[in-house]
Amino acid sequence: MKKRWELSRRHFLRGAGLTLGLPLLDAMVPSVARAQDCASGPQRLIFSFNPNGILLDRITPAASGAQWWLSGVPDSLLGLQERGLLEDVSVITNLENVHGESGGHGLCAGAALTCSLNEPGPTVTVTDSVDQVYAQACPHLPRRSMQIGLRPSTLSGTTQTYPTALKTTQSYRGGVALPVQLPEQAFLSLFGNTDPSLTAEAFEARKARKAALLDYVLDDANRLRNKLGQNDKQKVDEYLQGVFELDQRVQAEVFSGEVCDPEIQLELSSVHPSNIDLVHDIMVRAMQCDLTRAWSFMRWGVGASDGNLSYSFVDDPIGGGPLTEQYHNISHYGFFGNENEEWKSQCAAIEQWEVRQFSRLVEKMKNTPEGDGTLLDNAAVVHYATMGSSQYHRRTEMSLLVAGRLGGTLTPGRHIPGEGGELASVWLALLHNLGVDTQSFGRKPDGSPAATSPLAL
Amino acid sequence: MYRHLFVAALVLGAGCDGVVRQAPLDHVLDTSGPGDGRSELVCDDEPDQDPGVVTLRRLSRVELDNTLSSLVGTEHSTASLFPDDAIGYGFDNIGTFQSISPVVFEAYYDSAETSVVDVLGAPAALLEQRYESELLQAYLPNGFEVGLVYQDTSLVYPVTSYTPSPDTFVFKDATYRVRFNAAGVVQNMLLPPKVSIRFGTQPAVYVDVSSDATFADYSIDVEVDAEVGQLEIGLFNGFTATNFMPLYQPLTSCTDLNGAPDECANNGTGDQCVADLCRIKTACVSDADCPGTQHCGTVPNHCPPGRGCCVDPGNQTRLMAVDWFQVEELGTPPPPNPLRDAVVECDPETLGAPQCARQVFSAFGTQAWRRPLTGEELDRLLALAELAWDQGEEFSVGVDLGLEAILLSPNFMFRVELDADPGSGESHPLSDYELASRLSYFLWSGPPDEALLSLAEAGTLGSDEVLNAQIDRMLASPRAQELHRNFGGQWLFVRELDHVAPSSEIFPDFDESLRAAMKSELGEFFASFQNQDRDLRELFTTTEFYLNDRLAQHYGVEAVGSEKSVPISVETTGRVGILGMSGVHTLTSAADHTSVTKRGKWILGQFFCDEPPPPPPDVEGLAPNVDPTAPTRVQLAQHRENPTCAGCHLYMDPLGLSLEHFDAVGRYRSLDENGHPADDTAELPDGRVLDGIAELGPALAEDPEVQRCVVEQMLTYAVGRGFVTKDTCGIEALRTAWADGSYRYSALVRAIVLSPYFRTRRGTPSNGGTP
Repeated sequence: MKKRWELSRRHFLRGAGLTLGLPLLDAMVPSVARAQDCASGPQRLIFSFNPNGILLDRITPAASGAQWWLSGVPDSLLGLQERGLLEDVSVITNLENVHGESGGHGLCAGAALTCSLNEPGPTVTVTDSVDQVYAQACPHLPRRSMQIGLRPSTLSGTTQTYPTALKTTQSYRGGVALPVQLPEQAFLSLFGNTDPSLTAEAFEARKARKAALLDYVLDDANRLRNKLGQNDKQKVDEYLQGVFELDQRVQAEVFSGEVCDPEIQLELSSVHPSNIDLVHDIMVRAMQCDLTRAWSFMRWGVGASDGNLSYSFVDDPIGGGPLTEQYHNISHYGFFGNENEEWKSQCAAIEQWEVRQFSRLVEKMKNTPEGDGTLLDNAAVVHYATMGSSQYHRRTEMSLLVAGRLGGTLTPGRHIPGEGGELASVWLALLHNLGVDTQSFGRKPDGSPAATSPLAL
Repeated sequence: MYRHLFVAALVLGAGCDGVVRQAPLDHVLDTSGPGDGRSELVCDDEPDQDPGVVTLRRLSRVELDNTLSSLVGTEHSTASLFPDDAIGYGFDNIGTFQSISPVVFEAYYDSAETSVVDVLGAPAALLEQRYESELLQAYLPNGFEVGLVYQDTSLVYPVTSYTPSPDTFVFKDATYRVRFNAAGVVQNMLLPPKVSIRFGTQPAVYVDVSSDATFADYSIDVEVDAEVGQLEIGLFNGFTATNFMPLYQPLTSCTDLNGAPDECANNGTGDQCVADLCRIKTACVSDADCPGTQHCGTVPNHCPPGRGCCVDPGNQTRLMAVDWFQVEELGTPPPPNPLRDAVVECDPETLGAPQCARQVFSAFGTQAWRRPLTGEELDRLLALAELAWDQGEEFSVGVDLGLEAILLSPNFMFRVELDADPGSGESHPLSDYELASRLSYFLWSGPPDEALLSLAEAGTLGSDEVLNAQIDRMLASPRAQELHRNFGGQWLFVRELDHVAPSSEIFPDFDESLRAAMKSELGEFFASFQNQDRDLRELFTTTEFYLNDRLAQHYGVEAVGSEKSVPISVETTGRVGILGMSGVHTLTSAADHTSVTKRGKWILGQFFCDEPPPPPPDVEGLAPNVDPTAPTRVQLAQHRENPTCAGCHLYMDPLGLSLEHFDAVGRYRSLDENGHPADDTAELPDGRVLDGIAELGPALAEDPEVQRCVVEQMLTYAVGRGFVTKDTCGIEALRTAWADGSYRYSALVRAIVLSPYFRTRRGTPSNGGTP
């Protein structure tokens, strides 16, 4: 019913004797665009998530175009200035994203990178998120994509209206929510499984055993699948795709005396948000090793916006001291119809802090040489929120930042007023710049694409 | 489901519809009933209890941990590998909501590997490795043959031939004994052939080989520091040359720079080397410096260029033949792994590897898949093991591969239930094995035990009598503690208390011990219903609370003299039932103030099974002006003047207001945040006025709608699907059965297990029949 990622049937037929019962997955129908250049110079697409909204009036520069900062830098963007990144980042303001019902923070979160609205009910029905569209175009990498979150979202509740998955991740593919992974899991997934004591022979023998094991499992799943009804088949299909991806990775493993050394000491702190820089280090190193190119990073889950998180590490602009009020409450600064200016200022202070974190990642990439330039030259790092003002769960007046040159296809350092255009037109532009051949992005409630023409970036 | 307390509102037609909810339930609620505004549920005597479509469930994190622990026979947690389970209908075990993304699958893979390799792993034997000369051959320099005595002096070989062992060992901190069998001869030399032995980067040790041309065993013990590395065997062997200075000086004639005896092969440098080497010889630069027939011999790499000693002419040779090497680790062998022995009970030596492996797979597989494996399934597992054996691996490696496959199979990860015809909407009984799993995952959050599997094998589990006996047995088992932990922990939000974060500025007293005490109170309270088989209506009416000293202090009552929560009657505090518990107040509050809406929403969701939808979009401009300094009750009333808001707030607000006497961390208060007297009067939409939780609690306890919701919550948890309007009468039948059992906890469990919801299932009709 929805497009999945592209697979070659040839991959599935490896070990043909065991896999003859394989169903033709939707994923194998070639429906998805493919990046023309994904095998050549690596380009990265990174999404950095700000829970709740970003206040339009606190982030919009007075001037537009290049050198907008000559007329002053809005408070929310001070993080860019502090790290000398104004020329490396474009500010895009006042966009809209698929109008429709509110559904609160969850529905907005599901809409941000997909530009579609989840249908009511327990199932993830949003279209593929922009990071995943790119990830599908580069299937040969050790990992198609990586989703990292620092704070698992543990939301109890009946929540019958929408899948809770919308609150735990920003990445969706083929109706599956790809959950966030903790930094240690991300580290192990990216860099783990290297055993320095293995000889080439032992490596090959082990690889053969792993492949046989996965073949066995694939076969088991197919046999089971044939006995099931449609609902249950979908669950087994998700499972099959998991087997496939792991198998693909196993097949790609090559014995080598040289492994890309993570060069990172994995020292986790139990105190939030101390692990943010560690995650940045993991991301940058994994990009250097070209382990994956599509990233989404949530410094917190959407739970931060819906539940109990206070930004006690941010100074309260009203009266000093740590912020105590929960971010979610502050973000509804207009509760009961009256705008609470204090809360709005506190909200802006948090948004400023989030931009500072983003700036640290961008700076790190800018300081990492690659080829004749830097890692940032071959990346687009996007800082975004799922709403404009979250006061009324609005998906209008949305703003975002795009850092990097994406292989020379972007011209950063500008303020681009979106003038109420579609958020999807930004995602479409990024996909085009990445060489992904697709005509449209997103799905409006009436079923039409959310954008068919890209915004000039 | 709909609300009974508030049925009057239904007549008004101002339902809390939001954008998702369907129209209210006219067909179950007789709105044309008596004129008191309350409608009655009208049901058949034997209502349809459609099992509905239960989507294939994968093991939740808790279930996986329990299942693995049960399989491997020890506490074993891999849950931290997994992303959080998705929650739907309030619980984490609902198949429709659970997805298996590649991340989850990879976690399963790691989990299977850890379980088999780390927990069930065969104990690593003491290292013992033997190399025959034929094998060593492959690792020697080109043309060098071990096992032959070299007679051909025209060949020139390096002084030393290092022979790395074919394997990389992971050495332990241990003593290793290296033994070998060799014979040596010398010609024109005083020095015997030598063997050098080096572990990793440690200094080498040397063993002289006797020069009597007779094979003999040699042995040396070496202390090793743990490190990864190769064992390196060096042969000081077969050297001959005329222009090199042969190393036949007696050891005593030569010392290294530190004064220790040395052959000067390595340690001597420069002039000191030459001086030492030549103590009994004449130092020379060229042959002209030497007397008689002697010529000037040098040692390249050891003495300075052009410096040497005068030596006799002729070939010097020391030769060695080696038959085998053996390295073995000394010490006591590691103890056997009893966990593995319980899984691998047979001996491959006596039974034969295939037969033994088959037995192992059959027994372990039956436990893991909660049903017997077919012969064909066993054949395929055996084929995997044979692949490993064909690679030359040990028995255990093949068995491990099969065990991993069993754990990675969808038959393990999913709780498989099959329909003979998945396209038919006709319900049919579950198989006995499927029923055994439903029972065990409902009551234990874990796999069926031997007793359940035996009953399933005998085909007798399905009768009422056997089921009743099993319910009693299983509820009495310690494993049943999982039921109140996982069901109650989610239904009543006990788990959520881990995440609440009251403002430390406003509530400096809120600390971890208070959090733990709140959690313990809610948890112990609910556990008591199961463990004492209490009347569940007391959930709302009890005045007995579970306090420790910390919570007693918080509640302003006398210390209970215990750090553990104990049941104490606290009738004077205004606290009644679960709505009087500070944990509930805290988790339904904002960080620094109470929230009437949040509290009302929680009560509606958890006890009326009717959580309001999120506010409609873009309500900006619709919200009327509200005076933020007015008493909460007045603000809410102003808010409700907008009909869009009133639809839901009409229901939420009175419920939330009844908790007004408790602040955001559950302390009793007489003034609210704005300094107005706290007023917990609740005016219900039907016109009734309740005086706080003291009156709301008993009203909830006796309300059939609330009771149906309690049934629905446990039923949802038990069968793993959501329940909708058309199930109302079916649930009402369960409620009646539960009421006939005096509302006991066990009566509720029994009503559910004995119902068609639990014992039958059906497929999805291809004509698109609804779940």
